[in-house]
Amino acid sequence: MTARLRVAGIVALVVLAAATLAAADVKVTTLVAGGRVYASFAVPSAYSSDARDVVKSGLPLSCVFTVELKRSTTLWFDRTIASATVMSSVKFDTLTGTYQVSKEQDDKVIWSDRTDQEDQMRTWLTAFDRVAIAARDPLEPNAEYYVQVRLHVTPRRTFSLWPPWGHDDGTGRADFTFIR
Amino acid sequence: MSTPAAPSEPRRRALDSPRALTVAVVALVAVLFGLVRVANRTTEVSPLLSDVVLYTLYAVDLAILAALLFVLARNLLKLWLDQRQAVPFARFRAKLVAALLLLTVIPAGLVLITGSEIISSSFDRWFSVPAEEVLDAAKNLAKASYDERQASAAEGAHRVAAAIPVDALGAGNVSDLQMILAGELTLMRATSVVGTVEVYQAVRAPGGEPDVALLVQVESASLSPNTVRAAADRLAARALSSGRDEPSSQDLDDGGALVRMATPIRAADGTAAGAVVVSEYVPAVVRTEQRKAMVAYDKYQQVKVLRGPLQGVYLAIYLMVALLILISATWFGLYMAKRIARPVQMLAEGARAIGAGRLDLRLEPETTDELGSLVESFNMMAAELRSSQDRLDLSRRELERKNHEVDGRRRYIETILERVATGVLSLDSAGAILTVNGAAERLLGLDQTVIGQPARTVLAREDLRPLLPLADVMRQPEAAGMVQEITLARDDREIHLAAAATVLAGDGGRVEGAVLVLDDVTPLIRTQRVAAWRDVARRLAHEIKNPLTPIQLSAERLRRHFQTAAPASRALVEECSDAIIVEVEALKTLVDEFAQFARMRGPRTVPSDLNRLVADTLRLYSGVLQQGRLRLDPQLTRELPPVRMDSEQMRQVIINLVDNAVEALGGAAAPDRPDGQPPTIVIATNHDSQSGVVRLVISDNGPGVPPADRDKLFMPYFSTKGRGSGLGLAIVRRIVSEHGGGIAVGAAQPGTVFTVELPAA
Repeated sequence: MTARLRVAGIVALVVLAAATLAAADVKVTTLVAGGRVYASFAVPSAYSSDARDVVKSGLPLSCVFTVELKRSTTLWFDRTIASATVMSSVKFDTLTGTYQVSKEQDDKVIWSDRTDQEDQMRTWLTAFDRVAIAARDPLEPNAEYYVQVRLHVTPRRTFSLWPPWGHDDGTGRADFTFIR
Repeated sequence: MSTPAAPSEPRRRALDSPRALTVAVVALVAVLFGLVRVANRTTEVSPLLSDVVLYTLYAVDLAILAALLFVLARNLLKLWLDQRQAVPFARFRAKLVAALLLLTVIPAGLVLITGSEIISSSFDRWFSVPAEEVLDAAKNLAKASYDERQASAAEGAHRVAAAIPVDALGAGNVSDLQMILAGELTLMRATSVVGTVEVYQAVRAPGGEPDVALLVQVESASLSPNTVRAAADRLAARALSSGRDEPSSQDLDDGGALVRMATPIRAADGTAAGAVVVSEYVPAVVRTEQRKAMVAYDKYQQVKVLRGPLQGVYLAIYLMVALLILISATWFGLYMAKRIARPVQMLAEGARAIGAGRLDLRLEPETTDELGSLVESFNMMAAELRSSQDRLDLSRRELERKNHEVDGRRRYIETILERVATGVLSLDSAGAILTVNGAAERLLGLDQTVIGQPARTVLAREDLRPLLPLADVMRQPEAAGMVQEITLARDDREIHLAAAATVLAGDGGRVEGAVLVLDDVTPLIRTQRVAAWRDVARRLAHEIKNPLTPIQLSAERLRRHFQTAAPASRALVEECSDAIIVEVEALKTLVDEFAQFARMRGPRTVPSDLNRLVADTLRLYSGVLQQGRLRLDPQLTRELPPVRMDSEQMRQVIINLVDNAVEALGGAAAPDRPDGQPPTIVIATNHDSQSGVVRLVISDNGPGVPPADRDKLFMPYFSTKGRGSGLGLAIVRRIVSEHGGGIAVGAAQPGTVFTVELPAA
């Protein structure tokens, strides 16, 4: 019985580790200017071989970044102060060999460009610069905050029984102290 | 044992309705169909929707699987519990369910496994190498065609850019530029290429942003007039900005396309002073085929890329269909098992309820098929049983009433038999005693323990032996009965019985038993004897008294006549005449007593105090008994109820009995008894409230009366004293009898006891 429990525990740890490793790390940097918080983030590893296969097949690939400004709370879930959702997508034209990349924020296209350079496309696709996070209330001076970025890439080439909602393809976090 | 519960009313579930089942199945199929259609479009809808569809399918699969497991677990658990609780037909239902489940689960499982393999192999076949090679070749062809056109446009652009001197980039040199471009168009025509050539000059916008200005444009005459130049302008600006070649492609409304290449015109210092855009027209037919090839390739690649999720979708759909079939089959099997078993179970429970007496039970048929007919037949049977039961109840009540009557009559007869003075014994056909009434017990000295014993054994007792022939009455051939007068000697007394034995014959003359009837005729015989003696006494009084007076007178005349005779003769005559006269006087006295016995008047009774009468009577003896040892001992009970009696006659009774006792003790001067006790006569009175009689008991401690003489004491002319008329006790008995009482004589220790019983007033 004890041996079985031990084996089960090891399997659970391996699965957890695999799940942790599978999620890419999002590099997040924050900038506070004019009482507002801006987040820049990049996750080049999001353009994985699976993502590349999807793009090369002509399917549009989307990277949805959920950016949340949060404040830690003891003994309870961290409080979300503000959030923003941005998405970058790419579609490859097989005939011309060009990538059409676009970026959206709040369902509005904020930027679009085309390139036949894959590296360029990867940079455009996996990086955002100075995404504004609008907090409804002013931030508390000298308080600890952090910005969390979660990435969700669609479509996936793999399938697991774990629901897609709540399963991130990458996460990152940057802590900062708001100083007025 | 617990009464079986009435069969529970069948629960009408919605799913028991065929209509509801049909609606549910149609709805399920519609949902399934919709899901399949959505899943088929999974590559055309947004990726999120694909995920939603996929996970929805899996969620539905899991839900159906959970429902299937629930249905199976619930029904199997219920069957197990039913078997544990020995519910009727639980084993039958379990077998039925097991058979139906095997018939559904095994094929469904086989189809599920086979189908999964088929889907997997189908996907493998979809991505076979030949198909991929064909699509790859088509894509390469289209790509090569496009790249060739792109390379041609690039070559043209480079050629034009090289041919245009930087100085010529100005509004004043348009004609020179047109000549250069005309040469390029001529070259295009030579290679059957249709297209356009634009030359742009780099300009600076007011904000400092680099921009382009079109200097000259030439195009083939056969080019569609609907081409949009704006795309070429943007491409030129892009090349100017990037400083390198910029390719582009623009689809046209006619189905064709323009393949463009922009290249910067560089000054001597390397800066871009302008740009050349060469566009070559791709005909619609070529462009369409290129697109078809690329679309087919892309579709293939997309399906290949999404092979995993797609295979999951198909497997999920197939699994859902298989599970739906499985759960439907399972459900239907369980439903059918229930539909079959429930009426049978209802019938079994109904039969148990009817067995427990619930004949008003009616089962509700759930169907109109054969099982429904069976239930209806059961209801008819129950109704018939109820009707029969009602009739039986009526008959039973009638029988009970008759039994009650018979029982009452039996008790009435038993009461009569118990009360009558006639003894009755009933025998069964084997001669065993069935009943003995109280009179028989008293007459024969029996008790209820003789019941069941053979009559011959019981009547073989010494004192009852004369009755033995009666016990054999049933053995006599063709015996209908027997009547005998029998005298039994019991308790030193003779009992005269008029005995009759009657054989009880049943149907066909079969002997079923016998009845022995015993009448105690002792008092009757005694009365007859007394009556006879009274008659004798009357005749004696009449026949003897009449000649006595002439005899006495004749004797007296003879004595007077011989007064003068010789002394010897006179003495003889006087002696003889005196003897005659004395004896005549004695005869007269005897005759008078007989006359008195014969003509004794009836008592004139009034309620009187017996104690006072006894005390008054005993007072007469006070003077007589003073000198001797004999003494009278009155023991009179107080609170004695009055007795209706003739005091004079009862006084005579007391005197007679006391005189007899005095004489038995040897007279007033009798000495002490041999045991040293003084001669004593006890006169006692008491009251028996139960029998309602007042008793007068006179006992002495004399020598007693021999048992053989006790019954004769009360007969006239019987005396143990050797003198007297012997009528004293006969008169006593007559007086007592005429007062409604009785007298009996018994033995004391020592002595004699006379007990007189008189009814209380």
